[in-house]
Order: sequence, then structure tokens, then C-alpha cells
Amino acid sequence: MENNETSRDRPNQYTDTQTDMKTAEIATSLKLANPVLRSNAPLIELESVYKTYKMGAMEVRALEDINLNIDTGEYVAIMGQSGSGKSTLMHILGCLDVPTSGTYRLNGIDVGKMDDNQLAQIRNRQIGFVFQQFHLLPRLPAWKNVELPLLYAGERNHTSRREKAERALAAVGLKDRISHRPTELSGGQQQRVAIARALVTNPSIILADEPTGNLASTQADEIMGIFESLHQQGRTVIIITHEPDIANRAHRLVRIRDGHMLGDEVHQQ
Amino acid sequence: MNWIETIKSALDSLVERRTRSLLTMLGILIGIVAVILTVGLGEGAQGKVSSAISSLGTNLLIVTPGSVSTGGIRGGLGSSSTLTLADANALNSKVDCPDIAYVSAVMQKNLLLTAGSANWTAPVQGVSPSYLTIRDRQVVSGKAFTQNDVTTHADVALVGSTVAQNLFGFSSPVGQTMNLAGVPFTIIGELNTAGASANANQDNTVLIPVTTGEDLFGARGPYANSVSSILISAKSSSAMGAAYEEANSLLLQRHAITNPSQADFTITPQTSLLSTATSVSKTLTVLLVGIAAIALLVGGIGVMNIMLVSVTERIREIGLRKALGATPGVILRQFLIEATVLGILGGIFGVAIGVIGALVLPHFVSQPIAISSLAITGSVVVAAGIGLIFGVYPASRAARLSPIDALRSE
Ligand SMILES: Nc1ncnc2c1ncn2[C@@H]1O[C@H](COP(=O)(O)OP(=O)(O)O)[C@@H](O)[C@H]1O
Ligand SMILES: [Mg+2]
Repeated sequence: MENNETSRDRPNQYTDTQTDMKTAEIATSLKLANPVLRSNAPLIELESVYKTYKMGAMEVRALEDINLNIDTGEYVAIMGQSGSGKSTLMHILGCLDVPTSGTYRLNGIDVGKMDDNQLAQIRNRQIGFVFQQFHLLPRLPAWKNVELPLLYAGERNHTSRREKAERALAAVGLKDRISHRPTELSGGQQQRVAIARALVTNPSIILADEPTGNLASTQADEIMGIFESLHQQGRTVIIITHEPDIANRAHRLVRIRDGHMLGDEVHQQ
Repeated sequence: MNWIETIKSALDSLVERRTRSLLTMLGILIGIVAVILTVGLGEGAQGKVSSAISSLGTNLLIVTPGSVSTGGIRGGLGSSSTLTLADANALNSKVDCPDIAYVSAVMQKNLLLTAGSANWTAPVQGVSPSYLTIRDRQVVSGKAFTQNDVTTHADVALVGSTVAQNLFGFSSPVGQTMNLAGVPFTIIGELNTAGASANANQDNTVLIPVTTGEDLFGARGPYANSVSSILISAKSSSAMGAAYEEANSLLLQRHAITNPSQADFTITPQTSLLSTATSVSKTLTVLLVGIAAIALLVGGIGVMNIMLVSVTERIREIGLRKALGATPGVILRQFLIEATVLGILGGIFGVAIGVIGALVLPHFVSQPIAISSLAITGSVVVAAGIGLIFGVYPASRAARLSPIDALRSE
């Protein structure tokens, strides 16, 4: 957390050529011993991942034998009915949770071997989350919500934090809502603040769990537009949804049901 | 997240829940007020006792007849009135007793005093002129009696304020006449008000020359010339030991006693009285502080309780912060700081109210309350420590929360 060279020096556009350098940097900053560095490794690699929840005597198998690779810059939708394990998968992809068994390599590094602090650092630097319920802190103005990840990245300069937060808010079209509190914003605007917060540390992966689930369709359209432009900027965008309309806008569709992967189709548009 | 940002964020969240923060602080505050007032009361009482005892006189040694280590040979304390005026005069010798500054024999008897139609009973003491110096008493109106009055067995008296009021009301007693056991005495002076000591009202007294006292009390037979006690004032408090030794060996020699354990008198230094009294009030202070400590403990449990509620309430916020990259350490720090700030603020307000109380209350309860700087600084430190200690459990619970459980909870 003290070392934030990676986030400060990284240019706004995230490109393929930087992947290897970035992996090495992260490995060093996390002080990982012998990281598996493969120049052609996918960004995300899930290998026979299982996730089982224990509820007393009962076991809920939320994910079973998931094998999934996602490359840098892909725009992926993960679709399934409610209870199919989508959120569970996203939590694992986002390093909020660890698989019960199987391996998850991010940038070629085995996430299962990391401790809580290293996982926190990965979430801070590499992943931007967007949740269905927005999860904004209600008493903080928009820019302070957006600034939070920078605080945890150890960014000490107040002015620079504010500037970055304002730039991220401008990027989602909220230039004139910088000091508004979440309660003073519409649902669509709140979700845009959340996207700005996901963007502010310039992560390589944007993970969105039902980002339009709480929004009216016009607002949902705007939000999807933002994700598309993020994808066009070269970011890896993973959207989780149960709505086919939303899922079909992505370039790759992963279907899951009852914790199993049903299909994985690429549709070029 | 650095310390300053963490502290800011902790303060923000305390301000957000200001009512609750204030109520939590109140618990600590009451404990701290209790500490300051009880320590202050304890120290105030201690100060009062020591000043009352030193008002008995400075560097004082009291010689009383009889021995405390009687070994079954002698009677009880005071039964053998073996101290005489001659003993007192001998102790006054600058050659034998260079460390003794003043000596006064004291003869005492309770007598009925009459003046006109008024009457009153008070201890009448025959004393030397140096008695006033030894006991640190002043004559506020009129004059003291002199060595000449002692030599001439003059029928003159000094009265304390209680005696004066009871015999003469609000008019001045100086120059008036009163009868002691039928003998008319001229009142030549009134003593200053000294208040009540541990065992006697020092203002209810009549002082007459020691020789006049001898005549008046009519000591005859085996106890002729005997005195009730001899007061000795050492040159300084550091000379108390030497003065004690000189008085002891001189009296042993005069009474022809070779074995000191057979002494027929007892010399009591005033310091021993003082230390007994202060140790009593120290015990009291310890007791009061114990009660205050319980109050603080309750305040600390209040902090822990509120912090636990706060962790549960902010479970989603904690989950979100973790998702955004907060490490367990950062979350731990934030909650510890919140709890500590609650403690410190409670401590500071508690000190403020405690000091105001210590200044105002004595006007109503006529009990001095000392303001101890140790209690003040100690209180704030203890309050901060209580916040910190009772914050550890809630904070570590917050730090250990799994981000998904925290985000999922509704
Ligand atoms: N913390 C948990 N404890 C127990 N069961 C859980 C937990 N989280 C999810 N599940 C179960 O795992 C399955 C998948 O849940 P989830 O990933 O939230 O599905 P989705 O997001 O697709 O609706 C569901 O049956 C759900 O009840
Ligand atoms: Mg879900």
C-alpha cells in the first residue's frame, strides 16, 4: 500500500504491451517469491475452481469445476439465473473471496497463495468494482466517494487525489455533480459515481455485478455506454447479469447455471 | 491510508453519529469527573487534617506523665503525675537542651466560669508565656501575659472566642472580670480563632499563668507541683530528633531512672499524630479512587458496546472499504482511533467539568476539594487508554470481517 508507483506512473490508456512489465512490477511490489511469469499468460486463469458454502450440516455448491480464461482487453458478460453462482464467481475474480479448491491466477500469479494484505492491494490496484446496490458512502460527497481507493493506495497528496477524483467523475459525465451527496443524485448518476470510483486507480479489470439491476432502462443504456467506452479504451470489462439484453452487448458470453459453466461464445460485433 | 487521513476519517464518522458519540463520551466523562472530585476530596481532606494538626503548634513534642510501656509496675497513663514545674524549667536550659527553643508546662482543669449572670464550663490551662508561640496562637485584642505575671502569680486570663462569646456575647471580653472557682480574674486578651482540632475545640479555652494555675487547682500532697503535660518546641523540624533525645535523657536523669524502658513519662512527637491522620485519609482516598475506577470501567464498557454496535451497523461500509483496497490493518486503525478519540474527548470534557465542580462545590458542601494536576493529566491518559483498550475487541472484529459477508449483509 505504501508503494503506489504502479498506479501513479501508469498512463491512462491500458494496453497489451504493458502486461508483462506490469506483472513483474506487481510481483515485486507484493514481494511474491518465484512468480510464474509467462509472457503469453492470460490476464485471468481459472482452473477447475470449486466454491462450496457450508451452512451448518448442509453444503451449497455455488461453483463447480469452472475453467475460464479471460485475456486483457476482453469485454465479457457472465450470464445466469438468480442463484446460479454469478456473484460468487465475481467475488473470486475480484479477489474478495478465494476458491474452495482449484487455482486462480491473475496476471500469472496464484491468488490462492496471497495473504489478506496482498489481496487488498490487488483489489486496490488491479480491480475496479461496480455493484448492483452502488455501495456509495451516503454521507460523503461524490468526489470523496471516488477518492477512497486513492486513500487506500497511499496517495498522500490531497490536491492530486481530488484532481484524479474529479477527472474520473468528468469521464462518466458528472463534472457538475462533484460535491453532491449520493442522496442528491439519481440512481443512474449514483452508479456513474461508482464507476468513477472503480476507474480512479486506473485498474486493468472492471468487474460489474448486475450494474443495471436497480436502474430504469434509459439509465441502464447510459451505463452500458460507459462500459463500452471503457472497453474501447483497452480495459478488461466483465459484466455479470441475468438479462440477455445486457449480456448480448458484450463481445463474449459465458453462461452459468447451478454453478456449472454451460457455454462460452464469442460474438464479434 | 496514512495516520492523518485515518484520524480525519475517524473524526468524520464520530461527527456523523454525534448524538451517540456524545452519549458514549458521557460514560467516560462521568468516570473522569468522579476521579477528579474524589481524588480532590481525598486530598482536600488530607490537607485539612494536616493543617489542623500543624495548628496545634510547630515542631512540637508533648511530654506526658506515665509510661506506655508500664510492664505492670506503673499505673495507667497519667495516673502518676510525676512531671513538675521544675522539670519544665530544667528543659528550658539552653545548656542541657540546645535544640529546644521553647518549653511550656501545662496544668489543666475543667472549671465553671462565671461573669455576671452568664456561666460556662471550659478547660482552664495554666501555662508559660511561651505557650502561645509553641501552639502558634495569637492574641487578637488586648495583650498576652508575661514572665512577670508568672512570677507574681497574677490573676489574669486570656480567653478563646468560644468562651468570650458564651460569657460576654458580642461585647469585647478584654478588661472584663470573670470568676474562676470563685476567684476573680481580669481578662487581658482574647485569642485568635483556631478552629476545632481532631479532639478538642481550641477556641473553648482559658489560659492563665502557670503559677496562678498551681494556686487555683490546689495541687497538694504527693502531686504538689505536678503538671498535666510539658510542651516542647524544637528549634526546627530537623532538630526534632535531637530535641527528643535531649529531653528524654534530661528527664531520665532528673527522675533518677537508669533503664529507659522504665521511664515514668512519654514524649510524643507531633509528626506521629500527623502521619496517623494522613494515613487514615490516604486510605479514604484509595477507597474513593477505587469507586471512581469502577465508574471508568463502566464507561469503558460503554465505549466497547457502542463500538460493537457501530461495527455491526457499518458492516457494509467496512466491506466496501475492504473491496476498495483497505487492509485489515487500516480498518483496525480506524476503529481504534474512533474509540480512542471518544476516550480522549470524554477525558477532556470530564476534566473540565471536574475542575469546575472542584471550584464550585466547596461553596456548598464546606469541604475543600484539591485540584490535583496528577489527577488531571492522569485522567486524560487513562481515558484515552480506556478508549483504546475497550476499542481493541470491536476494532479487531471489524478488521477480521470478510469483505463479501460484509457486502452481502442487508
Ligand atoms: N455466503 C453464503 N453462504 C451460503 N450460501 C451462499 C452464500 N453466498 C451464496 N450462496 C449460495 O450460493 C449460490 C450462488 O449464489 P450467488 O453467487 O449469489 O448467485 P447469483 O449471484 O447468480 O444470484 C446460491 O444458492 C446462494 O444461496
Ligand atoms: Mg448475484
